[in-house]
Amino acid sequence: MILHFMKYRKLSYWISGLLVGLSILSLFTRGLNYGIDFAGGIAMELTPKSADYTIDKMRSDLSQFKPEMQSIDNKSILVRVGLPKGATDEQQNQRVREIKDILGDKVEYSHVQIVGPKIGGELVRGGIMAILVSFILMAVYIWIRYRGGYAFGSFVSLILDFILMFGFFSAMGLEFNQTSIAVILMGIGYSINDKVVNYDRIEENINRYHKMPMSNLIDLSVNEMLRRTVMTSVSTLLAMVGLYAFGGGQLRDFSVAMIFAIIIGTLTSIYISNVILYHFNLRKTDSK
Amino acid sequence: MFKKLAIIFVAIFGVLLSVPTIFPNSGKFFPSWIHPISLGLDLKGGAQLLLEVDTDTMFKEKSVQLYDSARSALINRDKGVIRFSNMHSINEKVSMVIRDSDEVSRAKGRLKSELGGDVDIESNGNTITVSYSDKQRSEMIHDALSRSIEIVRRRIDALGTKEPSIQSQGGKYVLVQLPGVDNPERIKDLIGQTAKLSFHLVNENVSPEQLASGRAPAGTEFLPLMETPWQLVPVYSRVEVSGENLKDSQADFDQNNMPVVTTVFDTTGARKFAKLTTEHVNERFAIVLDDKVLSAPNIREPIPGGRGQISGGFTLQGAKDLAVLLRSGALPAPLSVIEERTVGAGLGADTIAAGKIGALAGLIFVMVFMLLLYRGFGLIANAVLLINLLMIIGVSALFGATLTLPGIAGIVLTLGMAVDANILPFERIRDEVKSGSPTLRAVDAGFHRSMKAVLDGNLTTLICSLILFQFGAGPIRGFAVTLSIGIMTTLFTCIVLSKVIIDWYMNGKNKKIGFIK
Repeated sequence: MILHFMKYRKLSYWISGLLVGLSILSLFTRGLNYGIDFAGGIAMELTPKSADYTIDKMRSDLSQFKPEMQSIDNKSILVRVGLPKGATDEQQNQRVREIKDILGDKVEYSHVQIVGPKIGGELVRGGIMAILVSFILMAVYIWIRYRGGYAFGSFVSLILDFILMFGFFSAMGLEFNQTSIAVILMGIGYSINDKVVNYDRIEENINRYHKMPMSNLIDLSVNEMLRRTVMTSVSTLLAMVGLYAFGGGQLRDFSVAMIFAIIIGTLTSIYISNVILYHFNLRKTDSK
Repeated sequence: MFKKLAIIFVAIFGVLLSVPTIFPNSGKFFPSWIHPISLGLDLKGGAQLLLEVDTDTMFKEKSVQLYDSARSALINRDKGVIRFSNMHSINEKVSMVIRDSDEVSRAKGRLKSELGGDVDIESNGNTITVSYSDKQRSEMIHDALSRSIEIVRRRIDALGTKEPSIQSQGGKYVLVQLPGVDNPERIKDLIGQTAKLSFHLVNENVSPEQLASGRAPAGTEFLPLMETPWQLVPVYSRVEVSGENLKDSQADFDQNNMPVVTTVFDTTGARKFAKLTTEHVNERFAIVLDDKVLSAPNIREPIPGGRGQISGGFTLQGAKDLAVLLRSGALPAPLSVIEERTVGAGLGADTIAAGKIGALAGLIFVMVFMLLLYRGFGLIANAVLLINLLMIIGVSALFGATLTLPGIAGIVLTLGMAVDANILPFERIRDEVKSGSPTLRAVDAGFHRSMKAVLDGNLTTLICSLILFQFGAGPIRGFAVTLSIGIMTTLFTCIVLSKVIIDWYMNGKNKKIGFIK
């Protein structure tokens, strides 16, 4: 049995287009839920009145605010909570009141201060530039090792992955922080590996079946690789499911986003990065 | 045979590197360069510095600039000179008396248009007072704060201390947290310097008597030498080339084998430096850092090309530190350390324990999956996976990487992805056997034919992570390091090491392979 991905490629394009549209729409309307790393927030220094009130208990009491906590000089605790970007003084005071309502007199309050983002604009711009540069260099590598068509195919699907991952963060309202950048980086790493492995098989089949029409050849290659593609993604997903189920709240956002990234990376490998090669006339382009 | 021994030796060595991390008490059996992996702020804690941006000094400098621009606005030849007297600045305000009372409103208009909209201009009779508006002042503070953060980050990154957390706090403070640092003296030294570098000409017309009197002629300053501060150098105040025009700087040795700092200027800087050295051959110029003269060499010949060398009796460490400071750029305002404290682990013991269990669960899920899928070969893949894990930990420790809780998650993820490099050859072997190859040949062909895919797939990912290491900062760098190390250990363990083990398992015979029905 062979699955006909080429036959439904228009449908794949439409669905991808739709998802890209929804992602961009969500990014423009809902935006990203910036965490304290990007948006800054409030820092409060607190001293628990009793040693029984540990940092972990305080964290679970304040879990709705996703606080960052650090013990200082072994006695007080620095609590940092995020605020929406451009929050007003009123919103800040409101957040401080909410925290005081929850903690009550279990702690003594010292100073409360506004904190800025850990990641400034320069770093964000640098990071986005770095990602785009890496896309181009990866495409160049693929061009050198294989053919130009593959480079374009991988570049287009990486851009697709990139937009959909941001769209996912926005649509789900997941907190966007430094770890989210890492998720996107790892997701791209996963995705490009998947694509190259599939391209390798297509290239092998091009050299083996000189007369086979391109669309059949792509279908054949994708089908040959399907077991491996699915099993690798199941294995990686299992690792993330373990983290999600047992890793505690701190790793939950990481594993959820990563599960999505793996699924997206796998689907774009099967439905986009391979079938899109059809348009690049691989046999005619130079081969190494 | 020799190749196999080498492979096994590398694997054992990689695993050994991880032993101090896994058994913290075993450190005494190892040389000092095999050390445990350092733990991040969330897992272990470190030192915390609270820095204050000295905005007073910054505003003093800004008011000198305001004075200069107000002055040149009024004596603008093209638009007509407006005569004034008694221009001076007090309390960051610049005031002047316009000679002709009819010209007061024209002067105000001129100042408004030349100085931009963000200054307040008031007049009282013939006296005009110019000052930065509150909006402008708060923007300047904000700007100084964010630039200070960038520069502090660059300086700390250059020292190799991994993953500092740097954040502005309360409007004019910078909170720096350094994982695993007990004694932040060196970092305090580096942060405490403004590192404003400039090149000036030396005023050779100043007599030794004048120098001794300490009364500098207008436009000249007497600045102390860095090494021998009791000696003063008469330096023109005019900045010929500024440190802002530096592109790079490195520590190096000169022809006498003394440590120096080499500098490379950008295009503007190179042009200015060439002009300076061409027009002033056989005069001295002074290299000034934070109002101290590093050295005042004689210009022997014009220096085109924008490369220079700063000597100043440095130690090698001193030259290295100065190169870091110059590369990172000057602080917009001095920073002072107002508080130094120790921070404990950001995450409590419960959270860290949960994270470890989650990581273990993920790992076990992957191993059970591989075992179910590939039976005996799955067992080999799992053994190799564990070696991979230990090697990632060991090599990360060797390179001084910092482990955080998300970093642990990243390692688990890397391992989940790593089995791909086993699945690919195993699936190939399955295909080969199905098309009729004897199993021994199938194993060789399977590994051989999947090699290119595994290599190219991983090397492309490596490109991605190296770029992010180069351009990223903080935790992004941390992940890039984990990912890069993971790719290399994966290539080694899954391609090279598993082949050795499988060859040994096959023992040169066409054994039946368990997972192929």
